[in-house]
Amino acid sequence: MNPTVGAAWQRDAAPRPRVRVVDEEREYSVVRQSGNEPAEDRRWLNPKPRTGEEARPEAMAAKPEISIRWIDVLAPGERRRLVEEWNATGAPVYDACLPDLFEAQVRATPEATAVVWDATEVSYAELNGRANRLAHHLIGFGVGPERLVGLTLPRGIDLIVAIVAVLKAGAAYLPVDPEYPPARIGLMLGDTDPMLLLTHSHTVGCIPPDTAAPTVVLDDTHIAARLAQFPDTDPTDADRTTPLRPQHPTYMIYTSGSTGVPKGVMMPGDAVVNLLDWHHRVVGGGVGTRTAQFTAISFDVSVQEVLSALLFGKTLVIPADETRRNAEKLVHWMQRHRINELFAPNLLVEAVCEAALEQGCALTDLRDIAQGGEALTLSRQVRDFFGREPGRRLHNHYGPSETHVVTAYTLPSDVSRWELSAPIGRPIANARMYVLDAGLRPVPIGVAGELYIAGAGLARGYLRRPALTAQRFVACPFGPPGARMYRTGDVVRWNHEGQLEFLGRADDQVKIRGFRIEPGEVTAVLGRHPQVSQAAVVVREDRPGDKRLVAYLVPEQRSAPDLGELREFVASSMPDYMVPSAFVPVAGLPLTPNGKLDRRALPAPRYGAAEAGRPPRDRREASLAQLFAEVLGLPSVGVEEDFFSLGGHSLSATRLTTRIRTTMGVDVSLPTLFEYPTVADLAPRLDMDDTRNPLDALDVLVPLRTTGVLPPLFCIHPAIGLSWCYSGLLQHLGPGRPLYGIQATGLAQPEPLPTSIEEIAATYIAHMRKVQPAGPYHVLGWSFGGLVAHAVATRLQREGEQVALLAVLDAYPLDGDSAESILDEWDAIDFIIAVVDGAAPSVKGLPLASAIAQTMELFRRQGSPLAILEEHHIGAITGILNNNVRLMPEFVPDLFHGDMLLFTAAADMAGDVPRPEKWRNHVDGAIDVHPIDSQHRELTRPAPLAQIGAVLAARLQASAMTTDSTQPLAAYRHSES
Amino acid sequence: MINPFEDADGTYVVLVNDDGQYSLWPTYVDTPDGWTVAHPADTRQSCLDFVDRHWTDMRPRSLAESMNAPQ
Repeated sequence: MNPTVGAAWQRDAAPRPRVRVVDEEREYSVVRQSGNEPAEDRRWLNPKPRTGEEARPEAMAAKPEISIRWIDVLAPGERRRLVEEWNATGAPVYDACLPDLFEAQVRATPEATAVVWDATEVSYAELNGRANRLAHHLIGFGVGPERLVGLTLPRGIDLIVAIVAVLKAGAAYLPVDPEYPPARIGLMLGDTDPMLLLTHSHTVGCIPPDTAAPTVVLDDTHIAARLAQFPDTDPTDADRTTPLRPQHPTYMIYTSGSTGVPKGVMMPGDAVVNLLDWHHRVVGGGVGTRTAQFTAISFDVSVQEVLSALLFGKTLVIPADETRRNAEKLVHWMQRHRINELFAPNLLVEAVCEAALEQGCALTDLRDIAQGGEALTLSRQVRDFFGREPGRRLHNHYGPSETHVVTAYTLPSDVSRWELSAPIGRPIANARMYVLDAGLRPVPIGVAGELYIAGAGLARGYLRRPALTAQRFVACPFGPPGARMYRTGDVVRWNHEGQLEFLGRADDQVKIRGFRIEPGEVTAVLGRHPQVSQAAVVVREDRPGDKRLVAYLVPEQRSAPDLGELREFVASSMPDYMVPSAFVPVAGLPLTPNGKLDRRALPAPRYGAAEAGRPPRDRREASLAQLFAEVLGLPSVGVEEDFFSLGGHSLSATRLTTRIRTTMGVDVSLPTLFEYPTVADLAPRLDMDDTRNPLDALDVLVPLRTTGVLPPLFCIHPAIGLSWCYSGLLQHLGPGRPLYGIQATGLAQPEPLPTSIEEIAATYIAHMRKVQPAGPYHVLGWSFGGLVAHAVATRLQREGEQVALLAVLDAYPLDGDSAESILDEWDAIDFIIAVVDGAAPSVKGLPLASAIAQTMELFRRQGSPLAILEEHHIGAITGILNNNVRLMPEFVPDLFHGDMLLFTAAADMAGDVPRPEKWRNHVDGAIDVHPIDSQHRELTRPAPLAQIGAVLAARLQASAMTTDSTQPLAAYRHSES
Repeated sequence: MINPFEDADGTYVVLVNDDGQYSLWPTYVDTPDGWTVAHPADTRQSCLDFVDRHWTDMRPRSLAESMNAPQ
């Protein structure tokens, strides 16, 4: 599984100040590491020293008493590498303009074939002559630098002539796809107000009647006759309305971006020349090379496609629309026309590879495919296709319309060396890439950040949208003074080879419950399934505020994949939160006219099942419903829906019973499931809960999972006294690890309040011993519970027991600092609520009875076992809360012999002194610090808990392998009645 | 999790370079070399309104001047 390394940029807009830990030799700068990183990804905690780079472990070793492993960021060598070395892309730039370069090619190879359309071939000289006549005609209209000419032309030679002519006149062309809806065409033309429109008799009808600009119908016989009268000589600056300079715009492309409002990007000539010069040095080719003019003209890749051919003597071969749209026809066409180069977006590359394999078209002439516009997924068909022809190259190009292509990566010729997905590569000539956090600082290698692009590729901006331009094309803190950089909204990271990896869209990612999702990765995994031909994974928000990841798949011919099995296939390769909520089979993936995935045409997955009937009445039903849904590959399942009518069958039924056993620790036989196939009917028959009293939820020992052969993890409550918040850990720890919460005494019935944390620790140890009579013990505590956990651990050690894990969630000894003032019932309820739903409103101001009723309603909806609380329970909890808070400053921890695993709430660290230091005198081993991007009171919410769970799971696994346990491996059963 | 340029409640300035190009800029980041403050700390919307009012010619100034120079 690819490690999902931390998203250091995902922080609040006001970035936290860096904490500086100063010693005599150097300053360390600590950044809040907010990763979804699994513990295996130790690059940040223990990076391997590299040649020439200041090695952090050595610096640490020089100061043995500092055994806190800080996340150290950007040693001076690293910053220089990121900002300068990997951006040392300076290359000579031609000062010439596009027409000059084209005309130079014409002079060099006048008889070479420039364009092929159907049976017609046009030489460079002829193309030049025709373009010149049209250019002079345009100049006569006043067309020139800083002017815009709209092109509403069908594919064909005239379109190419028109492009060249507009460039020769010095103006910019605006492609207007005749197939766009009239409203969009009207919007584009109204917005850009071109000086003139070049069109054809077939397409003139697409121009809205109220368009102000005059039209020139190129295939009209009168126009053709007029054109013949113009000189066919190259226009010079003397002819043009004003001299042509490289900074003048050459084309305008419309892009919608995520907000949906289209905007016109003005691209200057020097950016295009830079790109084409670079492209030619990489791809090469010349006279005799045949490039398919495949991409839609309204897609900016077409600029690269057309001009990379025409400026270097290649032949542009134009397929008809109906050929382009049909992959089988296209591959036959490419074979027939001996196409050497193809530019296409990802889905089309896949389709071409698949069709070529199916149709038996070897396409031996096809040497270069450049993918641009989407994330490249290296499906089986693509690997297969490229595997057959070792000389064939696949290039991955990246770049938004606002900069055109700025990075590139050519895949290795040996397909077996291809990874799951391809990086987007290194910056092209004169381009500079910066991966920045929310404070616009470079993030370390391997850490995700937002990509900002500087250098030669920048567009001038958005036509007539200065404010929008100013917020996207911003000042650049690096490089030459006065430079700008374009804010892409793409999340990327550098790898250690100096290549960028695309991780997804920033706005796609932030929206799923705080987890950073990489849809491309999920797509890649799904694509590997043998029954899946093509896949696309998108973020959908069909219910407002409810973002979900949905996978669309095109099954292999004659196969009907089991969706539940697909889900498990994906789940086995990635964290739970990246597993799509729904899997939707489709006959084919819909494409836009540009050949990219048309997200809006994707069908909405089936939702609403859970709205049928009542919601789950308790946690058991909620858990069961969740398991039903998972196994069925559905976003949710209603408690009264029949498993088998929702698509379950005997195979998935077995899978369901297994999941129930591992997650809920309960055995359900298949006959039972067959007889009681709904959540509502099945839940009461789960043997564990038949005799349970709901008030057991307030016991000291909370059996979150009783099964498993490993020693249990005991999780001690925060100040509020409740431990149900830890149930979220179940899915992150393996099924072999029992999990118990420890709650405060006095919740269910009144008990005297404890007078010290040491007393509390002794009480809890007595309860723990009922489950686990002897060590090694594994203890965890959050907030107040962290102090108790330390006290439990030291007391156990004094009693001669082994403590294999001491984990503390954001707790620190107060050493006499005074704690909070008196808290009331409303505070208590707010604390309880915060664990369950961080967005729920405070209950302050409500009458107590209403506050409780509202909270219980929330818990019922969540299926929480705490839905049984009454006013006297709230009173008891308030008392416990206040007492616990009072005990904290008096607590002086003993010395624990061993390591501490310390999770800190990075989102609310304040001040300059690192608080983990406070444990220094109370832990004689290492203090392993893991900052979690969360506030203190949200640490057991799903997203932070997933990160914590991952680290815990790894640590527990490591300790299981090294701990010398003399206990027989038997299930630890909850024996308390 | 908000991009520094997208905070509707944030405080921004407007920067300008020698080419007359404007940039929105968050106040908590130092002004980069080659840029000066064209509009002082203000709300995001006010900053954007300022840009809309003032950036009427989006050609780089050096280009505009060479176009106006006698040929």
